[in-house]
Amino acid sequence: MALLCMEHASVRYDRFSLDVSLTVEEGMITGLIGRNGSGKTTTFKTIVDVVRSGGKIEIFGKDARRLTEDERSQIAISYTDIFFNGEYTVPAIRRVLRSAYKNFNEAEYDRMMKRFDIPQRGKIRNLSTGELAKLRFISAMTHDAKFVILDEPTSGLDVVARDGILDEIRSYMENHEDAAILVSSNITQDLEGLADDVYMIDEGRIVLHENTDTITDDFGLVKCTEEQFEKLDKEYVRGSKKAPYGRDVLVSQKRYYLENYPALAVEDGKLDHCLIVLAGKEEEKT
Amino acid sequence: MKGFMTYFFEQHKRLVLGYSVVLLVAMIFAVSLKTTTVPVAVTILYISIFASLATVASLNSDREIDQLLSLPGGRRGLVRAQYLNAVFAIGSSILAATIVTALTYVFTGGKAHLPSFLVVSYVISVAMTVVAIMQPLSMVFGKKGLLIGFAALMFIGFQTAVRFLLTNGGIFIFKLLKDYLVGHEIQGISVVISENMNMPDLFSVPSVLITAGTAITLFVSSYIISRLVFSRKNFRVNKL
Repeated sequence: MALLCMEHASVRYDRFSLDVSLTVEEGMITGLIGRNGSGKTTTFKTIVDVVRSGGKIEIFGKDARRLTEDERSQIAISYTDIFFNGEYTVPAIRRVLRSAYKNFNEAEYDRMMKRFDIPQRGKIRNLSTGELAKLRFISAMTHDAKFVILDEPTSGLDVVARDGILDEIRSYMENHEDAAILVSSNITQDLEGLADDVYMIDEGRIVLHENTDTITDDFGLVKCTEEQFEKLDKEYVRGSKKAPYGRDVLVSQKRYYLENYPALAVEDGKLDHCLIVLAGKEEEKT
Repeated sequence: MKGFMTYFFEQHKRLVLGYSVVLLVAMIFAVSLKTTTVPVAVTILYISIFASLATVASLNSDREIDQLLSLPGGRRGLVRAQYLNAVFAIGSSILAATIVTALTYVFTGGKAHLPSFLVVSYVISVAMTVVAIMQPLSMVFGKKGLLIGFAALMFIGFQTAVRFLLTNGGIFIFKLLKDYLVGHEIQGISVVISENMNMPDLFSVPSVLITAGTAITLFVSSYIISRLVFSRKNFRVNKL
């Protein structure tokens, strides 16, 4: 069952327009990758109606704008750099969350605050970048939401904290089998080990949608010269980008090229490859 | 909705408490020195209270608003809560004005130049009321809301000035006529004017009621407008 269904959700600004269609299935972690300014945060904002959009957005099978307060409390969102007023204290945030979300889980909140070593007192503005990122994450993960949206939850965190966050996301899904998580990250390695399904957004449009295993198992990056590229079978080519030695070619069947072009170097597929090739500058792509 | 109210309560709580303490300490200090400059000190404090409250009322940055809009209740909840926030701000401004006025009067043994002080209090109260109304207006209308707010401010300021001139001008004229009128008969009726007539108290009950009435009218009309706007499809102004 799809917890989120977006069909041509569109927003138009002076220098940017968004037109996104994507689906988030129950019990799955869906990743959203893209360059800075590609429209990831705007997509999230349209989902929770912070930014009004055209097109269709359904959450829990219902028009997202017509959700009741109870249904809205089943959605959790954590932004990259958006949070409550910095003048608020850490305990005040707990009080706000407790009154805003009927399922606010205080025990879980305490556990995570302790695990991530967040000060229990003091103003939010006095927290470090990492502490603030962790508090934003905790605020989203502690009210048993059915649909969780995480906008770059590991941004600005050290390796240990990042690992802790990814670990919490996995255990959340283990404990909430009917839930779904939509997560974006600039660190594509995080998503490779986390997401079941990945969308790539570029300039406000979805340019790739694949199962993560398909990308890591079947996709590949063929490195070749311009002459070799001319002779290459384009059947499984998803895109290419100029490189110092010629071209980086993203293919969806690396085995085909390994078998038929043994002289060419073919790397295993990674989300990074997809991002570099498909979301590069237009003049460098084919 | 409940979450929003907790949020705004947290927002005002510290300021109201903090400034109350500062105010009290300043009052005690001023009284212990038996200075007659208490009204001046209190007025400065009073201004600072409302400047701070006004700042808080408009404190919500775009990012903070995005966070608040993401809470259950969404934009409707936020706008409703902002209106309640405005009521809270108006209420606290009236309450603070009353307390400060009463304390000043008592502590100075009635020596304070009350009318001047009250004019300042009155103007600040009105300004605060308008600021409180402007916040939800700007939430709904964006820049247009601010323009409406400024228009309201000008309207109230103009109204205040006119009322001030009329009442004082009226008394001035009455005082001029008093000597002539008192003791005379106009069409068989004796004219009697109280000798104790003073400049009107701008913080008197009718004066406050008129201000509050104006504020409530603005508040209700802006709320109705916002509800009408919300019922329109595809409404998009600024963030909302």
